[in-house]
Amino acid sequence: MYKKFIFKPAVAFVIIFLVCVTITTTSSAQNNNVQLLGKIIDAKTKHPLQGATVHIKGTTHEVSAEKDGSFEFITGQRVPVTYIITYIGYETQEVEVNSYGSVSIALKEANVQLDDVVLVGYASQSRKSVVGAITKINASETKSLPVASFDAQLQGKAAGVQVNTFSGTPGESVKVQVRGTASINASNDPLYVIDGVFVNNNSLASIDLGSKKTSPLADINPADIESIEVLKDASAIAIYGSRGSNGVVLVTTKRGQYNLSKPKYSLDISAGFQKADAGRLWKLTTGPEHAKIVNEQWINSGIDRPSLNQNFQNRPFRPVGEVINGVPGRGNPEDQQNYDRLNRVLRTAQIKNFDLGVLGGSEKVRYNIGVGYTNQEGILRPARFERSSAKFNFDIKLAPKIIFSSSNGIYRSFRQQVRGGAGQQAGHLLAALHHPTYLPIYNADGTPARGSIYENIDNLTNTGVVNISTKSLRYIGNQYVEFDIIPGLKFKTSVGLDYNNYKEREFFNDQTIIGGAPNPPGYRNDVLTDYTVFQNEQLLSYNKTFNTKHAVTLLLGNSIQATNVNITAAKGQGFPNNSFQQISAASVRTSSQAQSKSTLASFFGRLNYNFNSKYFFEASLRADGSSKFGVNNRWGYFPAAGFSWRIKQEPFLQKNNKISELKLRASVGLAGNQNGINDYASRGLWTGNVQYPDNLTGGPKPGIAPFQLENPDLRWEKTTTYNAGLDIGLLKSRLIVNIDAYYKYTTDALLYLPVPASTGYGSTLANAGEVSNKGFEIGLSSTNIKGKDFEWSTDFNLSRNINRAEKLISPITFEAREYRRTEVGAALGSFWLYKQLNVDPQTGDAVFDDVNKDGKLTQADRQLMGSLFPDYFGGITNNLSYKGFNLNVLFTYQSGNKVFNFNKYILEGGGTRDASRSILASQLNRWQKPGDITNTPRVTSVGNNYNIEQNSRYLEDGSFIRLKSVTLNYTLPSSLTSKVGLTKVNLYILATNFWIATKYTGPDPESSGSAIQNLDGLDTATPPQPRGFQAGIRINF
Amino acid sequence: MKNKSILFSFLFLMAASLLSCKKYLDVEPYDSVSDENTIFDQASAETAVRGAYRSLASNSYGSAFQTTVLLSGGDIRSLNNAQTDLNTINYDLRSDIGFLSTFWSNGYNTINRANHVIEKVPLITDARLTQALKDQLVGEAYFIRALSYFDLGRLFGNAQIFLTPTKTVADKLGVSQSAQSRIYEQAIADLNQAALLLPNEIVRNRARKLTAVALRARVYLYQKKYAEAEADASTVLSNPNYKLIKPFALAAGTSESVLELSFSVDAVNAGFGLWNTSNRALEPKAALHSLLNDSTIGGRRKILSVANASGQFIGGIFPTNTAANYILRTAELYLIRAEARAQKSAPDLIGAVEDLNAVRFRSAVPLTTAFAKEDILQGIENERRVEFALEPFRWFDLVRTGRAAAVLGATNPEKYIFPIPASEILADPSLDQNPGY
Repeated sequence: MYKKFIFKPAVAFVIIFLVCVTITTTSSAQNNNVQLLGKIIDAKTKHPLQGATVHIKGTTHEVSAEKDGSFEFITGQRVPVTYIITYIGYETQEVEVNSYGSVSIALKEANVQLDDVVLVGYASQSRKSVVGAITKINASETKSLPVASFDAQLQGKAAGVQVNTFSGTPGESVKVQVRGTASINASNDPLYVIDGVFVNNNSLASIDLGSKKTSPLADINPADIESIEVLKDASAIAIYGSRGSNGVVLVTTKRGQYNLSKPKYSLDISAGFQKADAGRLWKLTTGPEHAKIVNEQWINSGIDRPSLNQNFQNRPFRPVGEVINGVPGRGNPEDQQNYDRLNRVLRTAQIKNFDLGVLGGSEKVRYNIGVGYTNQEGILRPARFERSSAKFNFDIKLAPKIIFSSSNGIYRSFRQQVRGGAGQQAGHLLAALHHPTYLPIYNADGTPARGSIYENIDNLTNTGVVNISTKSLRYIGNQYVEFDIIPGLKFKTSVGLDYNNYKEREFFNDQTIIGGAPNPPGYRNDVLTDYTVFQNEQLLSYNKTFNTKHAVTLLLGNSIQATNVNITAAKGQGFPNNSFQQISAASVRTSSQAQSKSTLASFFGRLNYNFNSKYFFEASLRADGSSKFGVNNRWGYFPAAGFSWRIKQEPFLQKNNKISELKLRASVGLAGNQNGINDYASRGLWTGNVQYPDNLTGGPKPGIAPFQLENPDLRWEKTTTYNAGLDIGLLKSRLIVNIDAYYKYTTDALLYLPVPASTGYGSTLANAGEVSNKGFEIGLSSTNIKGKDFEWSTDFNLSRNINRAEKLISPITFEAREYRRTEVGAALGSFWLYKQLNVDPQTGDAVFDDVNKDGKLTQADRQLMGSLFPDYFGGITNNLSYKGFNLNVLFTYQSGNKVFNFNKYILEGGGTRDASRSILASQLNRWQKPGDITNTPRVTSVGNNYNIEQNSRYLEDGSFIRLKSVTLNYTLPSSLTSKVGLTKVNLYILATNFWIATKYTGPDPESSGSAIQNLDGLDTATPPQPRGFQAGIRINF
Repeated sequence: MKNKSILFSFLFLMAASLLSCKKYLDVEPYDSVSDENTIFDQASAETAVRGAYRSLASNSYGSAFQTTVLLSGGDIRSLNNAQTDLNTINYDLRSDIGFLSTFWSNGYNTINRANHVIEKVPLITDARLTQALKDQLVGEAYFIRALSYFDLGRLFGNAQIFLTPTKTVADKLGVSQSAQSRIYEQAIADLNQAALLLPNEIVRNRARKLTAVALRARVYLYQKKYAEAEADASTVLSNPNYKLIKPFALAAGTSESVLELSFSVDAVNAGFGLWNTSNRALEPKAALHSLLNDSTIGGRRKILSVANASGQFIGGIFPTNTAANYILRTAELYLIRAEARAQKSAPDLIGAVEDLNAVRFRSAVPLTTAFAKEDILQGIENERRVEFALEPFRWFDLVRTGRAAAVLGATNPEKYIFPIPASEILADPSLDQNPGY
């Protein structure tokens, strides 16, 4: 039935398309023509502006400026005529011309954001008329940052959008959160829409990468992007209904230009390197120091608990000759060697980047082609990210009133992966950092040594021995036809597709723990994930102004979407030798498959009305039906309304010179969330993957077991958002201030409600919570100095968000170690710890806060001690330009968030982990004798000093201010470049992450080994964001 | 005209969407079945019982259970040195330690699977499902439930008893805990049912009549019902299919095996990884290694701890990752009977020594010369220590016989049962925490 249904729009689409092609008409030339000449230049630099579009008002005549800025019309029109000149990045200008001679027209750069056109859901609007809270980022501001995915480039650029990069490894997931976190178990990621396609942003990784995730958004080449809009408040997001509540990120890619006499080429080549900030890296104890701590702990423990029978005589680091119970000593501490593994796994990483773009167009067709290649090594060997991309956008005016528009991107990305924390045997960073320094890297016979629970570091970094890699092949495209039915009435039908073929491979040869004896020799695991999002949309829009003062826009639409995931995995163990790597050669082969599908059907409408461009009113409604929800609650309805008042248009302000813009905005609405929950979440389910034999000889036979409780009432998570905003332009808009305050209240929060395990189930997905987020955002954009040659501008943004769980059936704890807890009145996933008050100077024992004063340390003594969410965050960009030079400096900051330094928890374990983990140098500050003042307790395995996993001693302040990037640009004088036939030549150098101020003792306060939502802020198994230096050249011709 | 047709097609599409929406939004899962179509015929009844065994093998007796019980027993050392390992060896567990809720939920997960079988299989009408097969399947479910309750009882002391499958969460809320003695009684009741229903045949990786009797002997021993324990052990040992193999070797698939849990390449034995030479988590302590390698104590059991070239002690219980895990062995039945004979109201010390020596004889260690009851009991304790060196027994044995304080230095009897997991008390506030936690 479904097949039949999707056929209908598809067939209709094809038929309409064919009809359109046949009715394409051509226009005939006119006689009695005259010549109209002119030249378009930049008002400041006087450079010619090739490609500026010149339109004669009231006609269909349009040409583009040549390379030297000149343009020419051969036309039947007579002076006076009015030219309308448009050019991307410049203010549109109307010029009346009274003579037939050549005119020079100077365009001013459009840095006044109030005149921008911004995308709102399913349409675009002038910034002046926008009712909602929307932040627009021009891609040119950010695209040169050496991060693989465009979402990471948004850090510090958009008020209300918190962006954190968890790892210094390129292509891994990035945290993006718009106005706080509303959901406990459903996804908190914003919705990403690229050229109208709802793209997948959930990692498709199936193989064991620890708790790390890859970022599917890294597939997209940032160089293809024209602009990014972040929709934040209800009036902006409610049109996206059930998926909008976490904010919407709209990405627009570059398109061609009509009437270009010849194509415009742009070439961007850059190269650089990255390296970890050595001064901030972990400092470990040396081999002798490690041994000394372990001995001290051994003896202290023996004193504390005599039944352990631990004393000086049988200490582990004693002379080799002292054999006790058949065990020789490991040598005295001072005899131990020191081996540095970090240096073997960290490297200076190379970055290469290449982008070529061509854009052009004739009267009826415009196109943009972009090809790009990026090769970026991670600072952690052997991580590497490589992406090749091809982007092809074109628009055809099939007939005067019919446009066919096509956006296509083909992306191939390759990742040489490194494992994170959970896969101990192959955790790349942990194998270097957590491996005790006294243990040799090679045995006496030259073979790689494995002293602790970790794989040998040189095995891990050698891709011939361990090879974990993924290849993603992806197509994102949208095709639509738009008809102008009558003036103001448009109909658009579109088909969009996000297809991802994601292939993962793991190989461990017979020298490794996983693939070595006594396991069968060699291990290979291949996973193929096939992910498809198909969508079809119809939009009808009507736009009319009545009596010159009443402007009405009406939008109606429907959309259907189907998401299919198909995962097939094959695993082989027991290879003849290391030359055989295909699973068919393995003696033990296993396979598995997982398929899942969800559908969404929607209807939506929006009405915009404005009176005299002064009062703006907007109302929208969306109805969404989702296959994920229980039959009782399948449909959700999401209304919103907004109002804005351009006070500047009032008579009392119109003449005011100081205030160039004043606008008040207010909105309220409801949006939903269903992302990140299982496709069959409402069903009662039994699994089939539990086989068992009937006897010793018959082999395994199929089995079944219950695994999910039914919840037919499962329904949408709903967030009501109230927003009030003020846009102020002062001093001829040299100072622009945007202020927004909001309150978001989420009801029916989707969460895995812990149910008593005595039911046989661990949890059940239910609508069982309420969460609030409130905060404000300030965006400030100032042109500080604007001289003839020198200009200095500053953009600043600051956001504050307060997150609070408002209602829960019972507190919920997270993670195996239960570090976090969501409790009414506190932020989601707050750290829940035993608070270490101090170390008793007399005994050296850690003193914990005995909350209930019962003299015992029990779970009741744990307390909430802050969360991973910052109180404030934002960014400051300073831009200085002098003649051809431009300097751009970006700082990002956040304040008040907590980070659990998990590396410290493991590596400052008082020597209790002996030979399994290394020890941080900070352990040397331990209490040793009465009177010592320190917060590092006496080393012993008995008592609470080192046996409390959830010790507040490891919780640190994660506030920071970071010099994210410094870019120096130099544009060669056009007098020089035009001689060699080039339009523009731009040289640039870029330095990233060169400075940070933070109290955090780990290398990077943004690091998190866990990318699980609301549970990041756990620093382990991940390299810091590196310092980088890049140089590049951009050429336009 | 054209305009109208476009408008019409738009409206048509909207209408078509509306009509088809309901079916469009009905998406059936591919690889699992809904609650309604589970246990309804012979094949589904058999698969549901297999699912319960899988839970026993891969969840209840998984690596976490073995690790915790072995570390508590004092003879095995953790190479991971995790903080929770320190809590375990210091008998200083807190209710918020993660593995506790794993044990708790694994136990009840298995019980829920068994309860589904016990409730639904008798109601099936399917000609191919004979009464004999029905009895066998239900009997196996009773056995699995008995074993799970017995383990919950010895781990946590106080636990809730549920005898029906969960349909909604509310089914299981607000039920107070039963004491350990009551839980053992429930296990005995289930084993009586199982012994009644199960056929009298020999299948070593599934429960049959004698498997139920053998487990009942163990539970009676824990209950200190020695005469009953002796009788049950004798019933099993009198069957020629259950005898000690000599010389000592791993028991899988042999007459030594009373119940072993099976694994395959798709469901591997997690215990293998604990001792696996290249990535070990556990190793026998030097003291245990010495005992096993002493020809007068360990004898042939020295294969359980072998020193490799670099002087590490490798625990040798699971040769591969598909090797079986032992739940009940013939040797245990001998030692149960030995203890029962020595402890019963009219002690049979000669019989006890005979049983003890049967186990010693097959490992080629000198026969015991113990004569007094106390010495015989000490001999049995020592024998269990080496016979089950790598199996999770010693902690429970020392607690059961009141020797944990003397041997392990675990002086606080409140710590002999684990704390109820804090997360469970959160989810069901009617649960009471065990005293001392």
